[in-house]
Amino acid sequence: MRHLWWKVLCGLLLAYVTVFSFIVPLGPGVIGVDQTSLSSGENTVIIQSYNAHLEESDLQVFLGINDSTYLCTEVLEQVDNDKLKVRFTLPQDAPNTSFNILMNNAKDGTMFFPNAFRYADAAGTSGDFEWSSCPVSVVNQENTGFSIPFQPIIYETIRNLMFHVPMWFTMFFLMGIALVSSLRYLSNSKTEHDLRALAAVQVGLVFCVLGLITGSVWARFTWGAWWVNDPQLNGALVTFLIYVAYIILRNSIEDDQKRAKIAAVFNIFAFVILFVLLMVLPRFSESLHPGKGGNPAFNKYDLDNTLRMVFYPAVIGWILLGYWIYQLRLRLHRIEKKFYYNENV
Amino acid sequence: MKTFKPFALLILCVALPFLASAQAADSVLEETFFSSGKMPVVLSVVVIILVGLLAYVAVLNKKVNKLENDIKK
Repeated sequence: MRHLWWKVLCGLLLAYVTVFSFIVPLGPGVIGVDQTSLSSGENTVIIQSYNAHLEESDLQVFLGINDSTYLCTEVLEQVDNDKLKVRFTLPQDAPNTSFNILMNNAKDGTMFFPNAFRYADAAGTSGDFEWSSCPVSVVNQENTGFSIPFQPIIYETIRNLMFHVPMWFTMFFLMGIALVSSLRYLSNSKTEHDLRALAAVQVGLVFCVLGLITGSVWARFTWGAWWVNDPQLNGALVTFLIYVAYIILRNSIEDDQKRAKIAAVFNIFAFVILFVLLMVLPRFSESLHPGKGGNPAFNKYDLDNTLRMVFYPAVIGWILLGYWIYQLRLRLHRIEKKFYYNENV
Repeated sequence: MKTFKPFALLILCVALPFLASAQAADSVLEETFFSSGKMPVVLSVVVIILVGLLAYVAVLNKKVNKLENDIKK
């Protein structure tokens, strides 16, 4: 019973994480428009929103040209729950440019949709054109509701943060156990530490595979491909193959002592490569994957306080679950060793 | 060989998405997964993790069964 508390904690954390990741609503945002190119003169477009309160009377829509210039639009009608019809006029001699949409009301805050439209007309002038700018009092207003931040393209899949990302944290944790066990095996040659390294790698590989598959599914519906040639993704795949090689290497050596020793040395190198491939190299190159390259991930915009409330418990919960499974695997290894080889560990 | 079998299966699982991308049913796939703010993506990720962990528990279960039988003998 003494060792039960962290298993209970693991169950509670994962229950909390699963419930919260599904009941907290996604914040409001704009997901699309019915046409992308504009013409000079009057334009009527339909803006599609998500979870926004279009029925609010203080709703305003602006077209952003840059950080300080905004065009006014006239909200015509709410077509249905998520669609809004707006009208605006572009001047005849407008320069070629692209427009962002900013929608604003007190309840939802400011919803931003970058590069919604482009205006490309051969007659358009370039250079310093004076737009008849609209006085905008509220930009970057916060959403007042309790919600997960809305992000373009990602939408609801931001919830995967609580499932896909902790797989990798857990794998790191287990491979860390394997590293420490291998180091200890090399210093004291106890079979126990060899078994620990083996069990940790075996369970770590399960989490690695889950991370790869879930990442692949997520990538398919946000980046558009099951796999992209990206340093972070390829690094993860190579890591997986290296640890599979660890298992194969073990199985190919007959002598117990020799196997344990060679596997331990290999395992230390494997962890170094894991660290370099997943933590170091992707930061030095361009990457689609958040947190890597020129793509800062968990800044204040991505990981806000609502997400933090669920993300950190998620990481701890999944790591505890990984450790639990690792212990079961290890105990099985111990009994097998005892029964088949009559070796006490 | 005994320990290798589940790993062959795992490698196959990683290869599956690549095979699936060759299929022409992509537009149907996108229609399904892009609906309701891409929520089906989250659901499938959760299901994949559950199925994956359950599969591993099943592997452990099998190993315990074998050990139990051997001890009985």
